[in-house]
Amino acid sequence: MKEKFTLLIADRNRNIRDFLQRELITDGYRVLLACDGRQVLKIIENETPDLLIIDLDIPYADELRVFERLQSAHQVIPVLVHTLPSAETINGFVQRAAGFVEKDGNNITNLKDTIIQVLRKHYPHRF
Amino acid sequence: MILNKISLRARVFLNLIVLLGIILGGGLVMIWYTYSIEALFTNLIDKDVGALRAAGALELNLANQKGLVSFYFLDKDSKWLSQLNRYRRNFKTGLSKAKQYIFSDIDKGYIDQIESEYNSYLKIKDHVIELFMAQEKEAALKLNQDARLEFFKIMELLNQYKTFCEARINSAQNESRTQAERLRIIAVTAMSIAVILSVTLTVFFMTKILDPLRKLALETDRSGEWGKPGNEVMALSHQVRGIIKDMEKFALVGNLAAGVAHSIRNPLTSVKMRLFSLERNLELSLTQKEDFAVVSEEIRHIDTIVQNFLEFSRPPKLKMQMVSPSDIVDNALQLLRHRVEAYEVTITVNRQKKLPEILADPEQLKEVMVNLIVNACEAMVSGGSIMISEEEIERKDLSRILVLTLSDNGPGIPTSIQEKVFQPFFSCKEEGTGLGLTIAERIVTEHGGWLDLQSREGEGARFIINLPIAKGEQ
Repeated sequence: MKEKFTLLIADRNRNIRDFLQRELITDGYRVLLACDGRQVLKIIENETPDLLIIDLDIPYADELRVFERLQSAHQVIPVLVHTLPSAETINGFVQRAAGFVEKDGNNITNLKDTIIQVLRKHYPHRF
Repeated sequence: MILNKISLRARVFLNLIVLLGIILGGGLVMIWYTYSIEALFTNLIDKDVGALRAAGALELNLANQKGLVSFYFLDKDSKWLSQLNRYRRNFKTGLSKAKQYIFSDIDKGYIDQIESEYNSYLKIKDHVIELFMAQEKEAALKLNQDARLEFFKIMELLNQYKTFCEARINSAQNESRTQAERLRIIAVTAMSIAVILSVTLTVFFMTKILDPLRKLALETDRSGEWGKPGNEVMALSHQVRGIIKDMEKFALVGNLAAGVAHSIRNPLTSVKMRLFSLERNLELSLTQKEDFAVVSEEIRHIDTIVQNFLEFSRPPKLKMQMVSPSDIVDNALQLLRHRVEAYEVTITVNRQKKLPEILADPEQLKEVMVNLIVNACEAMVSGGSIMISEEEIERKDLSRILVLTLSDNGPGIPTSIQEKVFQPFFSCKEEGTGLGLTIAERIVTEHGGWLDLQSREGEGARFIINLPIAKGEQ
């Protein structure tokens, strides 16, 4: 990787956020954190993360239609859905996302691999 | 039996209609009978009795005329003649009255004959009187002999007419008696049928409606308030309202529980992540490693329970497609290949030919198969064999079903808990969630089928998945 990628992680659980941050920083990413949809929007007003890793089960996710806002921003931010599988969350959101990883406590490599895949696809010139 | 094919409703209605028919019919027959009796008596009194009376009056007036002329001969008193004239007038009146009661040719014949004979009698009698007045006593007496003959002839005729009238009255009486007899038979028959129908109806109501209603009322009566016979319907509707309220409560609790389960999963995932991290970084002793493994294991267990519970409380909608259950069996076996090997279980599939395709959700049905197979594997402690047989069966009502039978040679399921195994959260396994069979049964039910269990302790268990073939698919 020629350049440092900035990831925005949105998860309602602070410990998961912190854990993912720690893991991904170790891998050489710059990591931003958001605990709900509002924070996500607030952050992307000022910064442009390269990838949003979002758990669909966060507060204010639907009300603020985070996904639509991300798409309509001046720069399209790819979204990686990282969530617990349930019938409700697997909806149109996931289909429009750049990737989907089932949240699994026993395995983080899956998430890491998918992050690289999505980044490669969206920013091939930066590798 | 044709009777069995008619619905209970129809049977009750039919019964009621017949009963109503009998009551109405009985009433109509009675009304008709009163009319006919009335007509009969009117005939009897107005006509026959009238005719008889008229005949009697004629007879009397004729009899009264007898001897008056002879009296006149003896004392030549004209009062006898005037008396004679009075009786003659009376007879005339009686005759015209008798003519009112002419209803048949026979009546007419009698009356006409009587009139003509009477007229000739009068003529003879008048002639007798004339002769007597003319002092021809001998000729008068002789002619009076003829008159006497004529008199008796009329008397005889009147008697005959009276007998005829009496006979007519008798026959009317007989007719009324016959009619009454007939009516009695009809009444008795109608009453017996009504009694039989009422009894049938009562039995219907008792066995098909009231008893079940009472049983239902008793079954649903959890408060124990309703102990004595009363209005079961009221009690039942009251209790049903209670049950609905309870169900709403259950639904609420279910939603709450699902919410709780959902919320638990995230922190649980967090815990798992940290354990994963710990495991990666720590150098652990053997005991510590064991402790660690147990913690991980139990967390996985909790996760499974929560996951199953969520699945149970929010069943996913079936994604139907045309699929052969044989393929589903193959897929499930493919998925479980390694686990089955680990359990040292051999699985044989008894398949004559591939089952036809039906409309089903392959993923959900696969889950049913997986659940059943894993259950069987876990039940057979140290290896064993599972036999899966596939059949297409025609049922009595000609509908066709696909039957997947999964038999194992494990310890079997005791009769006492056979019903309970399908209940949520019932588990005999140390690590069971108690939802596997509940979910399996529900999936089969959602496919319009049913899941049966046959087992005897010590003789293995047999789960039978019955899937109907919809009519359009045959």
